[in-house]
Amino acid sequence: MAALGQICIVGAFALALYAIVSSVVGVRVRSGELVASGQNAAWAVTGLITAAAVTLLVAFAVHDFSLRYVWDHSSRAMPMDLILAAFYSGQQGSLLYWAWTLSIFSAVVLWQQRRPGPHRVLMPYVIAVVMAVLGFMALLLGFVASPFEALPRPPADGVGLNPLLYDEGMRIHPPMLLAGLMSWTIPFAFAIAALAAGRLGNEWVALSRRYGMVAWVILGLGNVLGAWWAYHVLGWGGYWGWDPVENVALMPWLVGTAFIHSIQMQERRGMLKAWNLILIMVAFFLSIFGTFVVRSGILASVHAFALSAIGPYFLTFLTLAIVGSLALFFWRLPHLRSDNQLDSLLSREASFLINNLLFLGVTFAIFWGTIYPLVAEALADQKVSVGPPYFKQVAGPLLGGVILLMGIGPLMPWRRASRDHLMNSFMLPVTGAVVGLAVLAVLGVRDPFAVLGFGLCLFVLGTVLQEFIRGALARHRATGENYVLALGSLIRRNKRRYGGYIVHVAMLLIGAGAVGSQVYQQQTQATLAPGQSVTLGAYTITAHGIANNQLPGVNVTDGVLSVNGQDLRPQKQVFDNFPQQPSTKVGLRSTPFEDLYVVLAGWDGDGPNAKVSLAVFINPLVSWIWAGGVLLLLGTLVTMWPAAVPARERVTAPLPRGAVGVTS
Amino acid sequence: MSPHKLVRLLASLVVVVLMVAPALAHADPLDDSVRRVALQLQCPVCEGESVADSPSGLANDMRSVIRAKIVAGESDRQILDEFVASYGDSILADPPKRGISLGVWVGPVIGVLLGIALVTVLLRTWRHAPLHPVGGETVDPEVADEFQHFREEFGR
Repeated sequence: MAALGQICIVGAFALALYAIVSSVVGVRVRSGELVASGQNAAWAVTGLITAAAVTLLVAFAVHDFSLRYVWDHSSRAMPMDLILAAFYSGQQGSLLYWAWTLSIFSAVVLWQQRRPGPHRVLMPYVIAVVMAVLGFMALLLGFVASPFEALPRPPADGVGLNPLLYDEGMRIHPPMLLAGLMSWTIPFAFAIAALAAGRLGNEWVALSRRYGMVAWVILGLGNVLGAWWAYHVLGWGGYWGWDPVENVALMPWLVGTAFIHSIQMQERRGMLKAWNLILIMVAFFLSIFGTFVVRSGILASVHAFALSAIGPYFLTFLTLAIVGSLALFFWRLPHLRSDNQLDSLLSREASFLINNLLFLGVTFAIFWGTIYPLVAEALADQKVSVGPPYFKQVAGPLLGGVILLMGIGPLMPWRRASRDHLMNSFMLPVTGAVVGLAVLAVLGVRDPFAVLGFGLCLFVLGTVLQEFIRGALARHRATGENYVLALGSLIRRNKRRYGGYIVHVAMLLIGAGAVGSQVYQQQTQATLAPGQSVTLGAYTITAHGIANNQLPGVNVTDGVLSVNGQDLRPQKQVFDNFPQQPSTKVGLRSTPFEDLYVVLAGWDGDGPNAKVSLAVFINPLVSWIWAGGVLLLLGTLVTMWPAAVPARERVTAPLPRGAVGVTS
Repeated sequence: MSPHKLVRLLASLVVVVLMVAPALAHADPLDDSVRRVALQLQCPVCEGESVADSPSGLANDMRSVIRAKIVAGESDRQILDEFVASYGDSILADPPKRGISLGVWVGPVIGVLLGIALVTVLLRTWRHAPLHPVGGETVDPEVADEFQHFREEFGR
């Protein structure tokens, strides 16, 4: 197994190098054969990396503990689905997973772009860029961090998975996050191809935007799922801790968000050409940085960085990528002039500029806070901690600005807005938000942060509802369709626009959930003897001791509780192989408006007579965040849903001999 | 939008509002105070967790210390200062705005100011100097000078 996997990886490395040379030389000397050969090599790389990944999966499935990686991350007692998830639970396996998904994504791109067309001139360069990234990954997997390292004498059983990863969320959140990080390679490759080929027109813009949307939704979902996993497993009552690992996955998403907005300026108005290239480059650099940080823990300290085997390689690769991209960029800069000028500050164009400013500002603030401890340690040898309060204070206002802009931007016309237009657009949403806030104030929402946050969300919700209602009414008047039908065809005919609005509503749900849970979280701790109760909000929690179960490989302790008469059992699990790392299963009672979140912190005694220590939280509106994640996916699917196949077909019959016509 | 649409919009807002309402009761104020202070302290033995959130024994002890100090009537500021005195600045989750930690606060401010400056410059160039001059080429200053010289020399 070890040899087979290793051969596949080394083969992929060699073929990736060949594909780069063949594609670039082929396109330069106009040799269709070399270009085709490069493309074939790219297919072969996908095949080899897939073979390596399947080899590792099989090794896991048959408990081949002669592989160090399999031994280190699985055990015979684990259920099969978790064993397969263990594939991406360590550094080597997750790098292989990353490369594997990228190779599949690139194969999909090759397949989708196989037809002749103006984009064909870009494809050899796209292949070269993707193969450079895959080749680098194969280099790491083959020679530095191999998942196929063999153990001289295979042990009888494996160590098993880290207890934190024993969770349903584990099966979906890391693969989503890693796939989200890798997928920025594709839109980046189109941008670099456009620069290299000197084809800076609209071909790369359309393709890069479309694949950028794919990357954006995968990474967005990865982040939401990561929050969901942290909420269910880590047991500290929250879902986002501004941890370096979380931050590095958020940053490419933020820059990517700026990109998928800003690229529309180029599509519609031929503006910001240079800037969009920079944005997609930064998104790609940040996702490489993110992959590296997620898989190495180097941000803990300078020393961890220096000791990490893959650290220097990543740093070199990143530096080469930055230098190379910028060199291409400056070489082509004279061709990146804007086609249009800005007519007014009250325009869609100006609001996109402010959008870019805010997204880049918040990304920079997060980046700075994330790497600052490293900088301070390297430069001044001082330990600095940068915790959540910093990120909330710095990122909070900027994200508030983003939400405000989400209400204003889409209603701004291109070029110039008139006074009447502004009145007409914002009168109702502003009134709605003010009335909504007044009602909230009567109900007791008076915290300034909450008033501001909910107020912004209500305003934006008002603008979106107004757009849907006005659009549907106009369609009803024009076509006589009933209102529901009119709404449906409105969305179908303007998928990008109305899908975008749906995504904006998803963001509002996430924003309102964050504000609610941030401002109105309640919590208490209690140590309860059997029969004693603690009350928090509307919940009275009564303790009835503990129940202990020894399952294969794991000891599970339930806190036996009743909440307002109903059963609730938060758990602690202690895995035999990780006695020092008890893991938490939160006792959760979720309603649409608040979660009761109970953690079994400890116990004293045994069975029904034990005293239990509990940490109890009420987290308002957290479910809205998960609902936002679902809506995010739906909205993006709407924007990307392919247009219906036209009823007409291209006439492919040959022209009669001697016919006079213009062929294209 | 007709009036009854407005009413419907407002009604849906009210529904949203009512949904938020259950969030408004409050728990034991002492717990809240302990948490407020503990959230501002970084657990010294954990990776990126606050004293309020960490399940470690040390964090648990620190929470008891905070509770005792609050009961004894100390202010939040005093409690935090005492922890800084024994652990140094790095115990604070919120980096203090002094010394080496000042840099982390200054960075984003400079970044955002630079961004605003950049956007302002961009807006100005876009608004005042069309990049593709409309209606004829602009005249190269060198050519203009030469032309002027020519006119003077040959008397208009």
